[in-house]
Amino acid sequence: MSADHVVIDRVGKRFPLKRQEVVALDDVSLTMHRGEFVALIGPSGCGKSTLLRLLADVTAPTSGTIAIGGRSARECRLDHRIGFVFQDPTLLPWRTVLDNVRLPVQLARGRGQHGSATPEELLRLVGLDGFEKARPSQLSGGMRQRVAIARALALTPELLLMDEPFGALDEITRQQLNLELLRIWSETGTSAVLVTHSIAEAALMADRVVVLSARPGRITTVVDVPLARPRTLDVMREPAFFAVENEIRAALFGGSVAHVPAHPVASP
Amino acid sequence: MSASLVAVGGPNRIAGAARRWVPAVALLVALVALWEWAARHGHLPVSVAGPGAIRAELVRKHETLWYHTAPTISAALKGYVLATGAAFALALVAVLAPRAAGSVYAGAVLVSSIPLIALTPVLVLWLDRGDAVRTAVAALAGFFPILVGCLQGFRATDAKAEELFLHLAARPWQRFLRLRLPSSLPYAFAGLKAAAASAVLGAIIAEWSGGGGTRGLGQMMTNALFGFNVAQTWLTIATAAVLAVGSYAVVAVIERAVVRWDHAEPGAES
Repeated sequence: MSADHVVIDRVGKRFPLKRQEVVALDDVSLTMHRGEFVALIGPSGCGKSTLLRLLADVTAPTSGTIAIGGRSARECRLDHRIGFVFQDPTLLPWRTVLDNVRLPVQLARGRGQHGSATPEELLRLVGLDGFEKARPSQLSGGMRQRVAIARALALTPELLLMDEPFGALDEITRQQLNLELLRIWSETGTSAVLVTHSIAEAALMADRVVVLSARPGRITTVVDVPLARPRTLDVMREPAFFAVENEIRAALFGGSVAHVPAHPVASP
Repeated sequence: MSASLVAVGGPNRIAGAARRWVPAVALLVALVALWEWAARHGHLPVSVAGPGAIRAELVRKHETLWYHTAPTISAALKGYVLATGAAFALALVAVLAPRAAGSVYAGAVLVSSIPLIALTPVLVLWLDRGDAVRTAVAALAGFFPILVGCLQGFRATDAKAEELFLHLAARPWQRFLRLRLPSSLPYAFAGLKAAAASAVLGAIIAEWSGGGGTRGLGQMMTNALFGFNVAQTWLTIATAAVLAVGSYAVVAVIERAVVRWDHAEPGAES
């Protein structure tokens, strides 16, 4: 088991658009160690989702290489070593909740692959036991995204990718699911990459927050989050949390946030 | 959308069905009542029979009616199955070989634009006057809607679900069986429902031109027409309508049993 689990080496991604070319990512390098939780944050168009899609091998880089556990992203995808939670739950409406979680196992059958946890156990892990026979249309948005998380974990991935998984949900549900996600992540021990546009979410969840800039998409800063785990919502009141938030904010907006107080203004 | 699992199915669904059906049934009853009133008060032309007269004719002639209707139903059903098989196979070809899709579509449009009433006499020459002609015409009448439904359905797969299957390294046949086929079903059924009624009417059209020999609802209809038997003419018209609506309803019931998930009504978004 090497120290570097995910190695992104000088990766670039260009899209042709009409006559010109859009540089979605330019010379991005990043390494993650096994079991690390990294958040990607940046303005829209900074290529954070593109970077995630490159890791998932649903699109290929124009330049540079990606290695996960010493293998290419392609090999890892074909071997079902990567779990992907999309922005939308993307559940199959004709399948029950349980059969949606089973989908990756069914597709991988014949290749001798199965997860270390059964679909039933995964549903318990995401707090949906009792909903096995329900259809996706009978669930709330948050519950659907829980199913998507269980599905992403079905084949015990070594890398879990999440593209703003709770972006469409309300603030309260979102916080609950974030905490549950932290619990699930610590129970499974996988490496995780979370794309988000919430500074607080990035600081709450990640070991490191990677800040990207737009056009071309580049890594500007990597912010370490020196907060103890397991984390609860209480960490959001700690001075260290505000320091991290400010560091991210400064990286995102440059000098224009010099006046943001490091501590909340004391209420009268 | 509610997270509650209790209220799904049960009484709500029945109440919903009742809400949908009550106005339609009420309208139908009102129209029949108006029709009967007009018949009794002499407001109908002599060429139109009232509901009461049609009913009396049904009671008198129900054995004859069944004698003529049974082979029509049988031919329509055979044609429908044939059309479904052919349309599904061609849609499959169009999906597996996208370059052939244009030709499949063009050929289907060509075939469907031939007036069946003109085609039937030619088919009678080729296939003789037996059952084959009305089966073939029923198949031709049902073919196009099913093909269009299947083609649209196979193309209607959600792009995000396609990406999910790509990420999950699904093989082509897995992608077809587990994604494209199920997501095409609501569209395929829209075509299958329309085709059910068309197949019945296609079989009857074939019978007008001599397809199926002397037995058939179409024959009974022309016999009554040329014998100036108004009540019997309208009995056969009503029977044809009931068969067309009934076959549509049968397919709709099958659809309910197969497509049990919420889906956007095909055509609703376009």
